Amino acid sequence: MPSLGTGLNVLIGLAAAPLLPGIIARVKAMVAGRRGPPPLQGYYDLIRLLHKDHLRSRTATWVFGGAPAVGLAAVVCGLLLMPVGRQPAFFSFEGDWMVLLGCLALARWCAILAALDTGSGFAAMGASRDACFSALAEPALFILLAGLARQTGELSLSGMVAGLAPSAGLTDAPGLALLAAALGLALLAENARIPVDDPNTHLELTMIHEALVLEQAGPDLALMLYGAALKLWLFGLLLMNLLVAFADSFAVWCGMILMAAGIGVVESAMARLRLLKVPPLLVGAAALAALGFALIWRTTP
Amino acid sequence: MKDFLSIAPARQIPIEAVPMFPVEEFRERVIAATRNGMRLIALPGRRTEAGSVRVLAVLASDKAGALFLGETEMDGEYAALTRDRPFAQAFERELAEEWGLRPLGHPWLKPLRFPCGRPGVTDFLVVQGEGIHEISVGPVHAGIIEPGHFRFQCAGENVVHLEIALGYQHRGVEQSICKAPAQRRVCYFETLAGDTTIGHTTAYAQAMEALSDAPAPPRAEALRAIALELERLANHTGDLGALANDVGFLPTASYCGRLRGDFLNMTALICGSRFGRGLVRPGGVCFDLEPSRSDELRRRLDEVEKDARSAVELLWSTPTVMARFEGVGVVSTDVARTLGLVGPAARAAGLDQDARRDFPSGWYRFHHIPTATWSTGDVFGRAFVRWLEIQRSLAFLRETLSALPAGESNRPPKALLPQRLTVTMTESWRGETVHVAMTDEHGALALYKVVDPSFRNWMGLAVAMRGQQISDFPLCNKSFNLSYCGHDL
Amino acid sequence: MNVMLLSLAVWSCGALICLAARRGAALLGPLFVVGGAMPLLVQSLQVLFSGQSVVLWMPWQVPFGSFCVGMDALSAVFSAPLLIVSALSAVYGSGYLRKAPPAALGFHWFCFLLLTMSMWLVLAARNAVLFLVAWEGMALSSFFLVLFDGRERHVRHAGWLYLTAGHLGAACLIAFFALLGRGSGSMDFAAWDTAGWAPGVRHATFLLALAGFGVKAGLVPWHVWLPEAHPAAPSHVSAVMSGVMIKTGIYGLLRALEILAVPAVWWSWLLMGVGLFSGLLGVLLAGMQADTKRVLAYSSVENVGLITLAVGLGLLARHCGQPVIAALAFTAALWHAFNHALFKSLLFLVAGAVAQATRLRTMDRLGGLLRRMPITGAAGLIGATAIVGLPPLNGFVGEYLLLAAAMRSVTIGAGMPVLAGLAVLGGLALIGGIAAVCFARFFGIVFLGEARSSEAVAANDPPVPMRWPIATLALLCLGMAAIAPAFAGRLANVLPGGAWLGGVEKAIWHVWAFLLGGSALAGGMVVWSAMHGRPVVRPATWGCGYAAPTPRMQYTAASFFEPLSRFFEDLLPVRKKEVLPAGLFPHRAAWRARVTDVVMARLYQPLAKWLDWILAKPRRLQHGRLHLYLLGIVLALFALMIWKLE
Repeated sequence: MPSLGTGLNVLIGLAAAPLLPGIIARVKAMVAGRRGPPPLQGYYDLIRLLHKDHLRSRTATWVFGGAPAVGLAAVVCGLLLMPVGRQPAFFSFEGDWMVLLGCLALARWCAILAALDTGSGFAAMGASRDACFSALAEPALFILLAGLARQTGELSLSGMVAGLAPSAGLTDAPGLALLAAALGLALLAENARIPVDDPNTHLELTMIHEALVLEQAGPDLALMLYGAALKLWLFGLLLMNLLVAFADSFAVWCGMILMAAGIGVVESAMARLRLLKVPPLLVGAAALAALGFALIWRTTP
Repeated sequence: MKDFLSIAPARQIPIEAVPMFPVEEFRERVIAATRNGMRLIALPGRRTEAGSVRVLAVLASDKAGALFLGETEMDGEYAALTRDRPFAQAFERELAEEWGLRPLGHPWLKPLRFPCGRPGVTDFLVVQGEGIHEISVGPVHAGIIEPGHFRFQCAGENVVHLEIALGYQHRGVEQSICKAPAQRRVCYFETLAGDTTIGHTTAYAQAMEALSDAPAPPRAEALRAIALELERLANHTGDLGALANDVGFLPTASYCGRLRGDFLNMTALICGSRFGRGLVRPGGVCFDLEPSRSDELRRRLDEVEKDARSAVELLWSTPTVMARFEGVGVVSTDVARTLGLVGPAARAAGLDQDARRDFPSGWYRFHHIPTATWSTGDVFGRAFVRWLEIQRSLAFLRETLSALPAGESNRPPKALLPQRLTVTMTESWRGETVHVAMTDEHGALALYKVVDPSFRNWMGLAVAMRGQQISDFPLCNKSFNLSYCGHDL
Repeated sequence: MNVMLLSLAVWSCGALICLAARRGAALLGPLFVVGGAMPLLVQSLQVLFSGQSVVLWMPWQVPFGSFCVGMDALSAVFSAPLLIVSALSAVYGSGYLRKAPPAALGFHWFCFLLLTMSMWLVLAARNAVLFLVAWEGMALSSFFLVLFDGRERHVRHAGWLYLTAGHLGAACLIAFFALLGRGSGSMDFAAWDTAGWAPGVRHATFLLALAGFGVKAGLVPWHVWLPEAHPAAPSHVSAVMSGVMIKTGIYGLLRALEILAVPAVWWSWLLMGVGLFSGLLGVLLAGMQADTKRVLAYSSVENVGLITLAVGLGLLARHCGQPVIAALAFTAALWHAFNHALFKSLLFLVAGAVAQATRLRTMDRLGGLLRRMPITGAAGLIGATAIVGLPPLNGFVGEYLLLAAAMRSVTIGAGMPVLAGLAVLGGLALIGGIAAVCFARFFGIVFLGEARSSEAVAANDPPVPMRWPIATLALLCLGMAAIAPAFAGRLANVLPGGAWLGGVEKAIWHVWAFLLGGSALAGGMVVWSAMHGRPVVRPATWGCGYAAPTPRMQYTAASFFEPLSRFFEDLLPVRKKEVLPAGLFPHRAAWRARVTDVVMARLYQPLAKWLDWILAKPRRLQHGRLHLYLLGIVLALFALMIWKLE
């Protein structure tokens, strides 16, 4: 419920989200033997972009103009529903996990339509890939949330996370670990990270998420990049809640930074998959989630 | 093959010695010769006073290590060679564009360099069907690379057909070479294809030395070979790093990027320019290598070799990288032979050809480098061949540096003999580079034909991409790594 | 009661007048439809919100038949969208058929009025004979409406397929009603009481009901007529058929379940399985179609599958003694049935406007229509967003209710609901994701980007009679989202076995409030960025600097869905006609792919071939020789006489 603490969590999320991609880039550079950009680079980019003019193709319509704002609003609404460790979310009610996933889906819908609006072949290719792969990643998320609900008996995200701490014991650990693995894969897929997508590539023909924002420029691009950072923050919070549910906010923030570093290491250690191989990976994530659910089902009465 | 004149590369012959055939017989002889394993490596044309076009065919026999020459005179239409021998397709398109000849029955008579009109704007093959969409990439690309236009016909993610239209870098180099004063000419070769400076300048210098009968001293030849191998090392390392970058594998990408810089700095150590500008001149090389610098070079080579080995071996041992490389962009041995591919792309497809071994000139006459081949013809093959060549070049460099011949490093160039012809071949890092030079009765250059290896390999990339996934295109393109400038001249 | 008779009278007279009026039918037809629909709509909403049902009984000289019509909550839920959509489609039709020949017009509006009347009668009938008569009337009138463009061969084929499928379903329904009537001796719904029946008969009755109503609803594997018939009909008829006529199948199923009061457990599993499979196959096939209306037709198959899935879950929950979950699931089913009528008919009307403006239905030849048809495009966007189930529109509320039911069943103790809930969660996630791809493709390729053909360039917004229904339906979609909590509460009490306990109601109000706040935030951000934004520069879309760009360089609809179609290729057999580039210098190449319905290809076509083969055998009896026929007759008479005169 709205309170000072939960409101502070939201504000910290809004402020700190661009830090995550910065940390990931820095870790990747360090692993590669370079110094890399400063972790605050995300903020500098956003400020720089906000001062540029809008660049909207003549082919684009009001859909392209409105999509970044609506998408960002959707992700911010999602942030209001995400608990942080022991503290509940700003708003919580039964089925808020559905509203969260629905808001993320709305953000993706806006980005896809904006990409199709420009009539650019590259952007449409990215939109097609992003839409198809997200469709295949959804079951993993739903099943893992079902696992959490089964484990805790709660129906809202805040309840699930709060209930994980007291109810989780050694017998529940394998199931929860499988759920966390599935969430990790879903996080990499939904946030355009290696092995599903390469965020640093300049090759339009291989892009998924980057191609969606290919035609965005200036403030529109700033909104899309910020929205993407917030989405990564959301997924990170969910993963942290799963792994360190009993912790307080400070531990969760530290965990987020460690997670960003972890993503950087994972990205450095592997190459990006062929696009043909991404659907089986996502089905694998769903299978992991289902296995985790089955284990939890066996251990809960 | 009795009548085609046989010569060795980098030797001059009088132009009159080249036998002239009527057009049909010329065509028959070329087709017959290439049936038995010979390759067509150049087909330059020149205008006679009468207004017709003299076309010279240069055939190469890898087994014999010799070149075979024959000429014909054409005026207007003739039966195309490409109908029977696809590897002549680019040569005949060039003849048609430059001299206005009309090869009848040429199955792919499209503009090559667009000397007049808008580059890249031509009729592309359109795959019929409403579900097919066209992806057009370029000429302006998203990275800092040269301009070229790629037109894909795709069914979803599957490429049904790829067509490549170049010509954006056409500068008229060949025409400028003949008109330029002698001292300025070498600058054209240095920048003809900017990353193949040593390859082209070496071929040019050897051509001039052959035409003036003034060979370069052995020390110069050794230094040229060192520079050529360093160029090969730098580019191959850069390519492996770029391949890693395209699959998102950052460690190797970053390390190889730095290592390429190290190799370039070694070239700079010799001549002050990282790309070898100002090093090779007709008559020798402009910079000598004292023992101190030679030791420094050897020390650096050892250091870099260690780093390169660890960075590149990481590629082969990472399953996700190998999953991206293997089986992608396959060029079969037949296709490679039919299209006349050269260089690492051909060797990766199983063709055992290397100009350093088959047509050695300069220092390669005395020291051989084993040829690196692979059989699969996929992206992995082309990458692995590069790695093998890196290792062999490093060994060669160490051997040569410890056995540099004494003596001068250059001799003053002499005047060119009149009415002479020569063909020089170098194995630059992209493949076999062929230069054909002819002098007129005053001893000035009448014809200079440059055949960059990219000229012959671009079609291979188009064929390799058929039936592949479009997201694998950058990887295939990078595995070939062809020169747009070298093609467009 | 008078209202019902009055509207029936208005419709029947109107039908006859239109048949006679011919040219005037263009105006009179819609007038009569709307005139008859309005009072009934008021009545339905009254019944729904007050919970009081009305019944009218009149004698009828048909054996076992009686003219018993009534409106209770279940009928009202289905008849309200029926009346709204029929009225709006009729208004749309007056504009859509502007250029039709007058002779055809009269007959068309006659059939339309008959269709509306028989659909409403199906929902209101309380006697099996009346029900079957109305059912048949619905089938026949819609058959003639489908054949409006009867000169085209594929339209005739679609019509025959539709008629055949419909009558096969009707045969099952006759058997169903016969079984029910035999048990109680009367054909009135009120007289049936199946409590003491033997299980075998109950199961058979249920299966007959499922088959009969499933054909009309378009559930897999009985859906094969739907993607042929709906696109072949004129757009306003497609809207009515896809929006409301298939819901009569759902209504029938629900009424049958109400009559067969105590369902067995495997019924709910069967319903869930059929629902999931219909949902998945429907949405996959929808994504593969190249024709706008076929996309929408297959999407109807998907949505009907989702409704059936919800019904199945609700039944299971009721069986396991979980009233809250049952209430949520049933509410989801009814909400989805109500709202799908709205946004599906909206999409069909939009597709019709596009088809009329460009004379094209192939998506790969359209494009850039949002700029040229702003009202149609905006309404299409609302429809597409609603059907995908994105917040804050009405489609999302339906998904919320079903997913809430599924999640609750996952958390409670026993085995079966957990598995059901998990299946619903995973299945709905996948189906919803694929639906998003499908409709992003539909809206994006048709309305966004650059026009791909000269016909698309010349498009314009449709005339006024067509614009108003489209706008009204779009506004209704928005409005339904706004009144969601109150309406959902009403729907919860329609089907028995549900208990709308306090916790659920509060949650729905919370969701509603959150979505309202979120919409306000989004709207505010859009307005703020529009007002305080930086200057806008409008260059051409980046084409990599190529000198001669063509519209063919855009993405196509077929390619958009390709990653998913490759993954699901076992369910989507594709007939490829490809001429691949041959040799090193190809001169021509072609590539065409058409997806075939896997049920049609693997089930019905082999079945039809087998039937053909086996029925050819007795044809040997038709040898044409008169003396053998006479011999046969004499022998048969002789045998009968010996047998009977013993």
